[in-house]
Amino acid sequence: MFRKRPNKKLNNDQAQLTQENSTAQAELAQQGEAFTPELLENLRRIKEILGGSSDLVMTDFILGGHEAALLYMDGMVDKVAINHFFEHINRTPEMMKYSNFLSQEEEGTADFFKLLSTPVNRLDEIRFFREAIRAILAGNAVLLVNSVTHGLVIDSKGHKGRAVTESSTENVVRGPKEAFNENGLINTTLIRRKIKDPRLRVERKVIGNVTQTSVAVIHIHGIANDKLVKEVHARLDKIDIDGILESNYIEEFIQDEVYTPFPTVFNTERPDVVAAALLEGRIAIVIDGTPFVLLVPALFTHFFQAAEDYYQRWDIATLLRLLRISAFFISMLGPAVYIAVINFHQEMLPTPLLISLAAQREGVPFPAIVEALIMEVTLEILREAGLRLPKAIGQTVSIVGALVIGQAAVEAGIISAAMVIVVAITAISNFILPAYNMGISIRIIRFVFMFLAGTFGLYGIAAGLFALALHLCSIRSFGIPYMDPLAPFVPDDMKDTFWRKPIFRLITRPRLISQKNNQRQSKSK
Amino acid sequence: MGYTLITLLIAGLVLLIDRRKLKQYKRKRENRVYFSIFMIGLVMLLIKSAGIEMPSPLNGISYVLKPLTKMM
Amino acid sequence: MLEKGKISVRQFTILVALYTIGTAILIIPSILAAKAKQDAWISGLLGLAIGVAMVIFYWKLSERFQYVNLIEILEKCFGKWIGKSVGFLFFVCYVLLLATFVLRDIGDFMTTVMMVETPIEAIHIIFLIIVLYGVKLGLEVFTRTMELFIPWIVLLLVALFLTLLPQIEVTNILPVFENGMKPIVQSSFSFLVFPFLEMVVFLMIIPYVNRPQDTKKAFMLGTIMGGGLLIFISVLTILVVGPTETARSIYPTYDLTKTINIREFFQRVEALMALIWFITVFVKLLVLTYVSCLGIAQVFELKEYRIIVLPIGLVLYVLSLSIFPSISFLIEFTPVYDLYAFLWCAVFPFVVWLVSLVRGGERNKSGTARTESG
Repeated sequence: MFRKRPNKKLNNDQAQLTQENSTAQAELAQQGEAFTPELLENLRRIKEILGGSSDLVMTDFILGGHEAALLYMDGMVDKVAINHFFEHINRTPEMMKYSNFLSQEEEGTADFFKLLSTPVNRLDEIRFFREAIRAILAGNAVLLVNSVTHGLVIDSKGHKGRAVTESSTENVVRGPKEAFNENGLINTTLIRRKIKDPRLRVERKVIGNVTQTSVAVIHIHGIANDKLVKEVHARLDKIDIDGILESNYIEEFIQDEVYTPFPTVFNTERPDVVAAALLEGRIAIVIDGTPFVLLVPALFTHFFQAAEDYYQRWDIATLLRLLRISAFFISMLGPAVYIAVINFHQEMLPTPLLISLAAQREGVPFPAIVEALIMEVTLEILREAGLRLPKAIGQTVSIVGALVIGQAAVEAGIISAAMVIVVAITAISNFILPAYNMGISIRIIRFVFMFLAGTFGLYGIAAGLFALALHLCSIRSFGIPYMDPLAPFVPDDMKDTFWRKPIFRLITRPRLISQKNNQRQSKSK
Repeated sequence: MGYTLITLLIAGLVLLIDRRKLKQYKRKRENRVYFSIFMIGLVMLLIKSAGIEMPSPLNGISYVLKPLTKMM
Repeated sequence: MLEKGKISVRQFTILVALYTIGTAILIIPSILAAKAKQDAWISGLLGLAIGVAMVIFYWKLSERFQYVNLIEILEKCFGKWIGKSVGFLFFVCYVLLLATFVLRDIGDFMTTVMMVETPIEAIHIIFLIIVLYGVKLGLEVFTRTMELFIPWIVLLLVALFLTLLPQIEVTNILPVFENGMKPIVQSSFSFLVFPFLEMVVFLMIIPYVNRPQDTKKAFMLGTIMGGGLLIFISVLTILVVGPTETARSIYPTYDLTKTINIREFFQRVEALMALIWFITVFVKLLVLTYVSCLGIAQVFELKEYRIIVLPIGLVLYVLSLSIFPSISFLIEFTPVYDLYAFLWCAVFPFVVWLVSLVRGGERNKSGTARTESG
């Protein structure tokens, strides 16, 4: 659950902090005040709160015989929407008629604002400076009129973002190609377009004191477990941080277990994956500013399921899943088993292979564990280098680096050829996993197993596996045991884990995740 | 000597891991039981590491039950 | 309640089955074959039948006391102080000792056949660390882990059976009843004591099953599954290796896996097959350590058992290293141990049961009153 970090700040810092806090509080108090009837005063206050930012645009004009001003942040609004608004008020003849009503009377204002409603833009009435500031900073325009204590927010968010493009991290041969982008609103729309059901609930909240990031919690009412939804909200509400820049900020706050290499929150940039998860009763968290949407609860088996498993026939999907599971074990245990066999259990190898291995290793000056460590660390370095460099150089570095270092190391007699093969297979197996974050955990665990194998052979590996199994069974994701449906064993839910039954056989939803409305399709078959 | 050092290291590690749990208990009973068992273990470990042969508890069992076994 | 977790009936069955297989899988063929020779399977079945009867008796005992754990049973039976002291004796002198034996078994096995150069201390420490970790995580977590192990055990056993199929010689098991009944009965007594009487520790675990009234079938099923597998392994060993060789071997099952040889390619995989008993021994030690911690914590009325796990592990570690002064002592001790275990696992619960019968009426009334009030 939540762990409060111990507050270990120095007294000096604290004093400074409280001082800063007090000024911040004064500002907040100012923001909490309501508008005055004086337009100029209002404008002055807003300008002051924003510290006279140069990108704040104030357009003065006359509206129905009153002075009015439109405020927005340059570059964050859609200029077309602003122009449209002006055209609209100029073209409306009743504007003049109603100008007389424009007084401090409530009703007159309300009618006036109603009249302003343009067919496209959403309009909200506001009363406080705080609301005006938030609206301006979010990219909306605010209309203020002299002698009126109401303001009007005109929805004109027009930030130029990335278009909806193909997914770059989760590719498919067959299946929808679109992926989320950095705009939270578009992301929710992409989900909504897949699930056209009134029970799809989107609840927004703002997290991050400074960044004011909008976060949407999405679930299907009646399918998702209500307790789980509440728990997600409770955990999100507890977050108190200055900024949320990526979904991992949220992930690290809401995950159950901190001291584990395994991810307990799933992330994806594919709307179809999110839709499928929602239909299973899981909950999606869309964070503005990142294409990666979080899915909870995330169980161990989820990290072995790719979107395409459901877009290709069930037989190949099943085989691919089994392949992934084997790849998981190879990737985790490959070098460890090699070390153990070479060091402790040579008898396990057939004699010809043993002779050939011994011949290869003859000139190698290191024990197997050191040899493996050298190669693994080199591989990790190459991998990281290839990842961070610009694409064109990155590929060259990784290919040339691996080839040159691998071959040269063997020829120089530092590393045996067999070890290069083992490390290469291990690395490739790691890439087969559809979830990158699960791949990372395996990379970490691999080194632990290598040390265990180097000291205790297969006995050490067995001990490591026991500890790993215990650990995996001890963690939970939002209260659901991580190894569900393997442990606790739920036979009915095995239909979509290591194998996938034909879609018409996937009748029920996972039992522990969606505890009510379990039926997915009629049992006509 | 080296063995004794390792012994003390193990004991220290045990205390280190349980430190927080022990502090958490206001009741004296938990701590008393904990340290009694811990001291038994530590003393046995020290005797063992000093190379002194400890009398196995099985000797006692054997002594008592041997006549019975023969009878059966 | 010291243990807040609950396990399902299915998980309980798995726990019982794996616990039965435990360390027995390593040595049971030679115990059975020692006297009964090729008739080991008959004495196996006989032992299993009596074993199941004992298991039913343990369950009845638990049922009689509305499924409270062993310490509470003793307290109800003998009163608070005597009950507590007897319980303490039971947990220290039997359960903890048994845990010591199990730990020593794996250490001996590793240092004599698999990794001769590795010091036994290192092997004990690494095994114990994982076991203590499991005990600290609690009953619910480690029974879940057991479910994860089941497919691997099944896979390995099927592989073992299939790879040994070509080497089976049916003549090894003939003739039946060559030496009459007496050796068969003697062997079956050892078989009864070794895995089945040790089931008494489950009196501490039955209360934490979500539907304790349904555990009777699960308890029997688990015992039959585990016992059946042991008989199966024994018969397989005798069929492949022969009764004389089996009886002479210290670790017959290990020797059995050594004989696997498929076209000179798939051979000498005993280290891989050893995973079967690593798992079962791990489960057994886990259960025993857990039960000792739980029992001792209950005797001293601690708030939770987790606090004493590490000190008990420390004691376990030292005891396991110094429990057998010499191998010759061990050989001499085996018949004594059989009797000792029989006293604790059969005579002791029987006495409890008798006492409860004698004091039955009022005890039961107070028992029901307690459940009603609380």
